[in-house]
Amino acid sequence: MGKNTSMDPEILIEIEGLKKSFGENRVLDGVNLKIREGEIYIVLGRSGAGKSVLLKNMVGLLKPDGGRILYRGRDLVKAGDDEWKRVRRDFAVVFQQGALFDSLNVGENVAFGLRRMTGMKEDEIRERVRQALSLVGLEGIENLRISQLSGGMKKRVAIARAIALSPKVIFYDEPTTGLDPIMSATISQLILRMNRQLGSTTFIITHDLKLAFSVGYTLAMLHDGKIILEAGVEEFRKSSHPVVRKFVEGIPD
Amino acid sequence: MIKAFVDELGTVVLTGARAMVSLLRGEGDWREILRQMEVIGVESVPVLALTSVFAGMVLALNTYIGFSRFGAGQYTGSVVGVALAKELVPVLAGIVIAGRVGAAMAAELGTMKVTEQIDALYTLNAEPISYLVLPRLVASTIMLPVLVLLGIGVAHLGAYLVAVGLMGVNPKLYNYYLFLYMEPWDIATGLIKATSFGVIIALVGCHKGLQAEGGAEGVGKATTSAVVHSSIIILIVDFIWGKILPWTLRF
Repeated sequence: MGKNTSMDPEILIEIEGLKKSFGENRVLDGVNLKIREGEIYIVLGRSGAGKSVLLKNMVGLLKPDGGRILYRGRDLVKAGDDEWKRVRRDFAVVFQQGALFDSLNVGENVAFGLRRMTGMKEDEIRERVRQALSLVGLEGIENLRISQLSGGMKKRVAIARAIALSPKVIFYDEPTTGLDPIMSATISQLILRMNRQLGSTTFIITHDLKLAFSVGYTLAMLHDGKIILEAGVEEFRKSSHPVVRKFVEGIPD
Repeated sequence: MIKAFVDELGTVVLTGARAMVSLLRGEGDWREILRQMEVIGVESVPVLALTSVFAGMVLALNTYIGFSRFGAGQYTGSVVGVALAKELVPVLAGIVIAGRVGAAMAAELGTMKVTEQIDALYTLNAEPISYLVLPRLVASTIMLPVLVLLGIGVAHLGAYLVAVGLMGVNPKLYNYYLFLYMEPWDIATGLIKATSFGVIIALVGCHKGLQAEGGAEGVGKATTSAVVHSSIIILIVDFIWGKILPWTLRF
């Protein structure tokens, strides 16, 4: 199991020539990538390289200027509101700071999508919330306020909120940023376990090489608005591309 | 600057239109609307009562002082009644509640924006317009006239106490002139204005919050401009109502 790619699983998301500018600033300048079903796909890049913009385009928070984002063969760039509503049922996003709703408690946060997107009954929802929280190792904290949680707990509750809906794809925005090394490792293990247990295709943007090397199936390097290398972990680590070398070895400008 | 203002007004109106569409589609959550009515309405009662009672007192005081210069002190009630119901209480309530409620909306939604909670709402198929703006808009529109009606009552109490108790106006004459010149239509005018102020406070507050960018500083700016802009718009709209209400609805 795991990183065997010889079975050639089907492509779930394919991005072609994706472009996005803000005024004069061209952030994405023709991004191409292919994400296979069930894998963990990691986009690496320096701060400001446009990783977040890429992710926001993929989940419909920003509208691309050009190019295609194919999900199961349908072009999301052309999708209308109703189609996006259906697609979002398959997608879950774990935001950098968690983006938990601080007007709600932990349980209500995890239940939020279930209440809005499924016809589940209250007791089913409560059971699902309990399961999701126990999967991330946080049992019985349903009634805590968001302000009572530590950074690592927030991240894990955010993951619980994402997996509660059994998404086809989970998107992570900088999942280990701002966490201590032990919590970073815990989150890395959690991402890997969620991917294997739930079979959700996983897309991560990060600059954390440790995370990328420990959980990634495919690593992609985003630089100057383009993917300059898309490779497996070993190939990425050994790449002779100067930008990638600099990034992997942490050589200053 | 004028273009920026018109652009801004356009997006505010658009936000309102989208909230109306969302309301007509039945997307309003009544429990959340009731909760907002409590926050906006019930919790504003103390500050509103205090503002209104002093508005009534100071108006009665100055009206009496002015009128008695030409021996008309006993007519104080005639002006006080109309002015409080049509102008002073609605406008003061509008501005005070813009400061209390509009600022809170901008700060809350602005914080949600800069901490990506608004993005999270989108990804969970919860449109911020129907989930956040709609309940605030409905609650504010319903509660403002209720608050203003209450405020008019409290203001009159303050005016009566000062005119009769402090300045020695004959209580029978005060009430006689008050009811001789004040008509139900004056109170209706005040309530119509208040309703529109409720719309303005919620829309500007929510809009500023949703536009917030750039961390704590952005939230601060959004909050400030929510209060400033809605106060200015309230004053402008108050004047426009003052011109059109007499000849549209009265006849």
